Amino acid sequence: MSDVRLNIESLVDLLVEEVQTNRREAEEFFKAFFAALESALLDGETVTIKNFGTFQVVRRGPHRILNFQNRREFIIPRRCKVIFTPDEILRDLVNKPFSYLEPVELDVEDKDENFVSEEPPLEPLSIFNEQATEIKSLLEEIKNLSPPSYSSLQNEAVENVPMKEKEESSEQKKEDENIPEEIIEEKNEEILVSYNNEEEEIVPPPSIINSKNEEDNFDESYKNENLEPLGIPSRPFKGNNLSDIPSPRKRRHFWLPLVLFIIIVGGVSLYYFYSPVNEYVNTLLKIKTDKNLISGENKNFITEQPFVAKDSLGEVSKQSANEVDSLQILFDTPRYYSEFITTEKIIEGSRLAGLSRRYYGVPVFWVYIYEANRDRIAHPDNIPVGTPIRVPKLDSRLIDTSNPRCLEKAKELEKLYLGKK
Amino acid sequence: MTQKELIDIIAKNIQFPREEVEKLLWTTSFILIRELSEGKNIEIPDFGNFEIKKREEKLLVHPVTKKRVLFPPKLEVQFKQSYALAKKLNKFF
Repeated sequence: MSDVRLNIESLVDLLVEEVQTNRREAEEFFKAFFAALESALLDGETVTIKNFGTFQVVRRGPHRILNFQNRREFIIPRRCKVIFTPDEILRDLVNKPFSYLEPVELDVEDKDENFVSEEPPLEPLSIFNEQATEIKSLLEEIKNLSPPSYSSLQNEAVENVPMKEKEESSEQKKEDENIPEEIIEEKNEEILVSYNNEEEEIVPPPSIINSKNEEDNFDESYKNENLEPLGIPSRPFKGNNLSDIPSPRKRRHFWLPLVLFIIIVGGVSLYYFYSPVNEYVNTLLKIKTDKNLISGENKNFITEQPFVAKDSLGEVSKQSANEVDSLQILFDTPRYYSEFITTEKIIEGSRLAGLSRRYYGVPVFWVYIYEANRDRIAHPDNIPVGTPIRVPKLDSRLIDTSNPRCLEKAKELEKLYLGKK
Repeated sequence: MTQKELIDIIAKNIQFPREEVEKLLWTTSFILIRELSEGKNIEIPDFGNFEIKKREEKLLVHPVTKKRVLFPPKLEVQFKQSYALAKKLNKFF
């Protein structure tokens, strides 16, 4: 702003004033400080100094520049640049003279000015209004005669518009600065004066402005006239819109049950006429019934299940996935033995494994026989001769010899009973 | 590089006690800020210049809403690197 330039010497002087040290020390410090800064920047580091700012090295690749006068291109080679971004404190302090100013939206205030200030003096300026109409008619005539001249006039008009804008902006500035004028120092007053001078220089002859303004006013009033008739029908329309808003909701409510009904009908028809869906639903229902049987303490389920399995032998392969789950359930539930195939007396040399092999096909399933006769046998390895042993009727799924899971389960039980002793 | 590292390096180079260097650095930054906020330019040979520049007010139009906004003038700190520093920086390229 001002042309005062501080050398490093004057800075050193100031430093010596602030901190009572030798001048030599202060100089040394300054040299070391900037040397350290420089070396750090040369290494590509960013240096931050508290409350002051950050220094940063930015690389820029090679880029072209076009000289518009010569129409020649220059290629500026890649280079490094030190960039300084001031800290917030420094930024605010430097910008203190203009800190009270804030960005202003112009259009809102413009309308107010037009309505308040420029409408009253309309009546004495009726002469200018007449002049404006005359000029307009003249312009139209010229337009009819020679289009190029009109275009030039238009250009002039276009050029005048920004001038007006400038004026407005400067006026506003004036207003902005009039408010805090009392508070701010003398500097700002100087700036103000300069602004005023500029205004005086810029201001074009009043007649043109007035005519222009009148034209603008005329246009605005015309627009307003146009808007008002448009605005009146818009109110009932709004009311209609408001009343219309709930109607689609009603329609939706009307449609909802219909859609639900269609979905249900479709589902039912699928169930009856499309075989895969039918089967799937049946399997689902079966699983449910199985669960119900197991959860209730039904002693007959062991007897009933084999029959079901026999009936649905054809479907066993299809239900393999479901069977796995039901098997797990079978394993987990405690077994009740109510029906028996036969009762045999133990002879010397006969074992439970032999019995199981005879009746179930595999010796591993002796555990179930042992379970059924727990009250008579103390230990499976030590059975007194002559004890009658009941061979229970088992679920066919439980003693499926082709299923490895059944065998595993039986082995687990075996370990449990033999380990117990 | 943080301020602490900078202080360490300076203290090592000129063999001052650390606290004194810290104090000196603080006062220099204080002086620089004060002088700059008074509108003075600072020249540091072989490093660069700190200049205060005024940005003129500008009238911008929002492209969508067509609202005209007047931005006030502004004072800014600008740093211009010296020729010597630029030469050193670009020496490796």
